[in-house]
Amino acid sequence: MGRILHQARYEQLVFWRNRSGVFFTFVFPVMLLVLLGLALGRGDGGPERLEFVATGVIAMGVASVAFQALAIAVAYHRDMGILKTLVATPLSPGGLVAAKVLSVGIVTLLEVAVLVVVAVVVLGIALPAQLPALLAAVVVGIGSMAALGMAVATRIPSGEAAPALTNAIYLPLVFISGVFFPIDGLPRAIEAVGTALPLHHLVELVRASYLGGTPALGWGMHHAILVAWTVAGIAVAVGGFRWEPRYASGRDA
Amino acid sequence: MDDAQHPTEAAPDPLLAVEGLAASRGSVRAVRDVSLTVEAGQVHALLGPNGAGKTTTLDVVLGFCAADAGTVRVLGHDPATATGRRAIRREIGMVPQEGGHYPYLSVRETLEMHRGLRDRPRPLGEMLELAGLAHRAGRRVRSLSGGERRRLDLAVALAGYPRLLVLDEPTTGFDPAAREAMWEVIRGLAADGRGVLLTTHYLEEAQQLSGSVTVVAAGATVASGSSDGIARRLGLRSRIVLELPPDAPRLPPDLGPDVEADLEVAGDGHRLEALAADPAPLLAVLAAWSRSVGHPLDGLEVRPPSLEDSYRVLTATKDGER
Ligand SMILES: Nc1ncnc2c1ncn2[C@@H]1O[C@H](COP(=O)(O)OP(=O)(O)OP(=O)(O)O)[C@@H](O)[C@H]1O
Ligand SMILES: [Mg+2]
Repeated sequence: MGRILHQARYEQLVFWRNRSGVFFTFVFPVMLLVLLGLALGRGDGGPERLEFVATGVIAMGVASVAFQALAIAVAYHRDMGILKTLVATPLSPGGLVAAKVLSVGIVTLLEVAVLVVVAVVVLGIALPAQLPALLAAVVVGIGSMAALGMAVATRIPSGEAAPALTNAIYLPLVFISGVFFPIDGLPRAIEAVGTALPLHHLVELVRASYLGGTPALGWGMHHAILVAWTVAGIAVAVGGFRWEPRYASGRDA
Repeated sequence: MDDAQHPTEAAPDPLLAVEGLAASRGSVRAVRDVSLTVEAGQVHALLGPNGAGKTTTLDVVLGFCAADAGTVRVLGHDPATATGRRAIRREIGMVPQEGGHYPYLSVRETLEMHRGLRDRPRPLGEMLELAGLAHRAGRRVRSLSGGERRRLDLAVALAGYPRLLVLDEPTTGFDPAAREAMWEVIRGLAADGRGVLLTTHYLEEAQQLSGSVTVVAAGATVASGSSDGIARRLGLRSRIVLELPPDAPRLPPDLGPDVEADLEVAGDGHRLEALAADPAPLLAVLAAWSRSVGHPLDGLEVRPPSLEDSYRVLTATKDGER
């Protein structure tokens, strides 16, 4: 445990010093929220529309950091031989993953805090109605997004391919998960896909807890679906993780 | 004297024992039959042409690559099991062929990070000193030169007090001074009772550092032992050269039947060149001649077959099989 906390501190340093990474995964959702707020502020739909989008972007911010930033970082660090160097120390493979997930979790909590502050201060939305429920949703969201990030990282062939591949998942996911508009307006098949994937359930939980109310399928059901995705992500990640660049030795180190 | 006190004590287990190892990279059989041992206090060199299977062998030792066949014991543990790997990685230091460190951390931060992962961390100053990086402690890793990065790899490998060091071409990219400094560090580690397994393409380096070497070609051990022993088994001969000054008495054209060497006397009887499996008989004859004529053997040179000579022979025969 001591080693994991120690390593997580350095993972923090590494994250914040990589400026372009910070911009694309941390700053970008904040910018998007501000721009959408400005665009929607004078449009139709009134305050409800603004609240809908802001809560959607908060859930999106969780995916941006815990899924996308994590998957890209893991793929890059593997390519650079950094994972191998760290795994060859007494920090076990599980310890390294735990440190990375812990670090990304901290960044994600910060991301959510910044988005909430921007929503309240810049967009003039009320404070979250049910803060404990919002926190619970974010924590469970971090777990599922990080597990899926690790799972996807096992399939990313190289560091260079990482941003393109994660974006190819993340961007469509955002559009079919109800971040910007309700998904019941989408074609049936696409709505079904969106409902099956985890981000939609995170969006529902964040929206309901922030705005007050109960999510469509009830708290327990959305949480259960996210936990199921977490378990699936961990299973894929553990089964196929590579520590070394290139080598397809299929070994779980 | 120690032997007298413990006359019956068995030799300690080697730090590393690899026996009949086979291993694959994807579908490529990279290692077919490699055996080697590293004892405490020993520097063992693993030599072989590009693609011979050296890195793959080290990856099996470190638990990064599965063995298809053979036995591997590292510090008494099996790297094929998770518990074995955990135990091994507490006590091993590694310099991979291509090391990797976070580019956004400074040298000092990188070393502090690795120190914090070790059971018994080495003082930071000592790590910087050993790797010759004291003047670069504040630099970001991304702005280090190639050789400086390689030094960082070594410093990281020494973050604990590893009982076994596994170094894959550790001096690649080093300037001559850095290389000799590294040799000193490695000698010091061995003198301290640690075992070192290193690969290198500098045969001079292997000869300087290693009491024992293993030569692999096309995935199989083709020779192992001391540099001299390997040469002897290959039938390589020592080269004896005697260069006499012009005022010295002339060597007789025939030194008699006892010399057991291919020799040639030239330069008016002032230069002798010979190849001998065992130089002793020829040297005895020359010594007797020197005494009888009353002239010293000042210009006498005996050069045992070098590791490079053996390596050429070993890898040339094996190359054709690939
Ligand atoms: N990821 C990989 N996929 C397929 N084949 C590989 C892979 N890595 C190595 N090989 C092959 O395995 C064999 C042994 O490679 P290895 O890296 O162990 O050689 P080496 O002795 O370390 O060579 P070098 O001196 O060039 O470092 C080579 O034929 C190489 O092409
Ligand atoms: Mg190699």
